[in-house]
Formats: sequence, C-alpha cells, structure tokens
Amino acid sequence: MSSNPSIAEVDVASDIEEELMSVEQVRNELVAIGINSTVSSYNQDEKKIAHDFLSADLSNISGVWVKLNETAKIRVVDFHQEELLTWINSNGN
Amino acid sequence: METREKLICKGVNNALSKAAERDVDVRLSNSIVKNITDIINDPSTLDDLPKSIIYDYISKTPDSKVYSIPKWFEEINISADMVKPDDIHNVHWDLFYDHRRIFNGERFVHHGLIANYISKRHKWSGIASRIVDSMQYDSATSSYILSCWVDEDSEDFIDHINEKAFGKVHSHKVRAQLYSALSKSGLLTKKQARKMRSDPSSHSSLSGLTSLIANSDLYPNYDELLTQFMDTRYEDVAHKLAKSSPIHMISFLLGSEFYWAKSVAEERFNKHYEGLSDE
Repeated sequence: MSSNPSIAEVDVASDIEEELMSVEQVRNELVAIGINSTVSSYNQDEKKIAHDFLSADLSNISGVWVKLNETAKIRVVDFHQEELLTWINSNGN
Repeated sequence: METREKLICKGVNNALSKAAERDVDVRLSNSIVKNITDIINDPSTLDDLPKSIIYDYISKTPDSKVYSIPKWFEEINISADMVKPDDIHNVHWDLFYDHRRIFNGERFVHHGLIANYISKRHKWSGIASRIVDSMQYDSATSSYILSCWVDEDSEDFIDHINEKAFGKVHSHKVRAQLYSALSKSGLLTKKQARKMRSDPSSHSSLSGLTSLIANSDLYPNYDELLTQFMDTRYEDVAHKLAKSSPIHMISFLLGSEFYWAKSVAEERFNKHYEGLSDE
C-alpha cells in the first residue's frame, strides 16, 4: 500500500523527541488521572481500585502526589492518619 | 492485573478520550501513543477511541514492531475481525459515527478498519462491497475504505465504478462518494471524466469534479480532464469550473448559458487581463 489513507492526522509522529515525557513520568501521570477519575466514582469496583492504591504504602504515592486532586489527597490523609500523626509528632524527623 | 496497571489503563482511556477533548494535553497524549508498549501490557483494556488513535499511529509508523508483539498481534486481529465482510453488519452503524471519534480536533476511523490496514486480514473489496450503499456522505470512514480498496486492487475498484456507478445501480449520493474517490486515486481517465459530467445528478458530477480539482497535481493531463466538464448541464458544476479552473481555460465558460458561472468567469478573466495590462 502506498500511503496510509487515514484522514486522522494527529501530529504524534512529528513531535520533537525532547518534548516527549519519559515513560516513568507518563506512567505516574496516568496513575494520577486514573485515581482522579475513579476516587469518587459511583462504581464501587472502580472506586476500590483507587482506594487500594491510595491505602498502600506511602512510598507508592510520591510520584503521583502532585497530580492528585483534592479528594484523592484527602483520602491519602485518611488512609495514613496514624503514620502522618507519628511523623508530625516527631517534628517531621 | 495489579492495581497500578489498572489505574494506568484507566488513565490512558481517560487521556485519549473525547471527554479530554476540551483540554487535550498534547505532550502527554503524544508520549502515551509513542511509548504505548512500554506503558500498558494488555491492549484489550483500551477503549475504542484510544484504540483508533494508537492503531492510527502504528499504521503510520513503517518501522513499528507493535504488531509483532503477541498481545498486540492478538488484539489487533480481534479488532480487524470486527470488519470481516461477513460480520461487518454488527458494527455497521458504529463505523459511520465519525463524530464520536474526534480527538485533538481530528476525526479517526473505527479501530477495526485501521487494524485491518495493519493486519491485512480482510480484503477491502469485500468490506467495501458490503457497506458501499451506506457511503452516502463525505466521511472519514468512506474515504478510508475507498482509498484502501483502490490501493489494494485498483482494477476491481474501477470495475465496480464502471458497473455500479456509471451503470446507475448506486444512488446519486453513493455515486458522489465513488466519483470523489476515483478522482482522488489519480486513476481518472478522460472517458470516465466525461461520464461524470453526464451523470444525471449534479451532486455526483460536482463531487467528482471537486475531487479532481483538489487532486490536480496527480494528473499530467489535468486540462484535458477538466475540459470534459466544460459543457456541463449543471449550474453548480459550471460555477465550480468558473471559480477554480486555470485562467487559461476560463474562456470555455465565457459563453456559458449559466449567468452565475458566466459572471464569475468574466470577473476572473477581466481581473487577470487588467493585471496583465497594468504590468
């Protein structure tokens, strides 16, 4: 076939390499998008996925924290209250 | 699938969705599409629009190895089988809903069609002949299928045009799409151009002519092809010619019976020669 006839021409191919995000950055951003779109979902299965992630070890969240919405951040605080309280009581040490 | 993977899939579907259209993060969407095999492991979790966007990128990347990855191979084949001629009626209406597949201002065709382009599993002539009567409007889907058909077997496509379009088996709306694809293919002959001129529908005739004008660079004998339309019976075709023909061919229309077309031709003609005399 001589050429792809698709009318869709989203300019994904021609973008300059250095403008692309690293795979790890993309994955973190996507996790945050995934959480933000499901954390308040009426679908309990979807909501559980977000809650499972947010209630897991805090170290998992470091890469996605800045991209989380307020609701997700409040859930993190809820899920990790004791750890955070201990950390606060120790003056952040 | 572990939680993080599920969230990533959710994120991909969300970032490449119509809902994201209002505020598309181009850098993120480009990064996703270009590195998709490093980002998700299971393409079966993708929604329809993300599949169209990703497959489209794969199909335009000649050195892409995605189709050789087992899970992608399987998923692309599943998508391609959705447009299998015998089963295409199941997705028939979805195929033509191009307006549902807009992302970043661009229309995408159904992922099954792009998957078939990548996998070459089903013959385009079979696909096209099953749904050609639904190609009543200028759409990304019609254009995609007809272009693939021409690329795959131009002789079969031309035979179909000769028999079903020039033979008036198809409705005028379908003929319009077929004429447009024929002109776009670069295969239009003088005889076919003449038949388009003589079509009983001005809509069909205009469609073939408009596509010819848009693809003029494909034809070394462009002037000759255009001449076939000059004695058209339709005012809108004559107007198109008056507006878009090369200036050296305008004189054909100065004696036109159509006032609208004639006045446009005269205006262009006079402007051109006034410009020349000013020099």
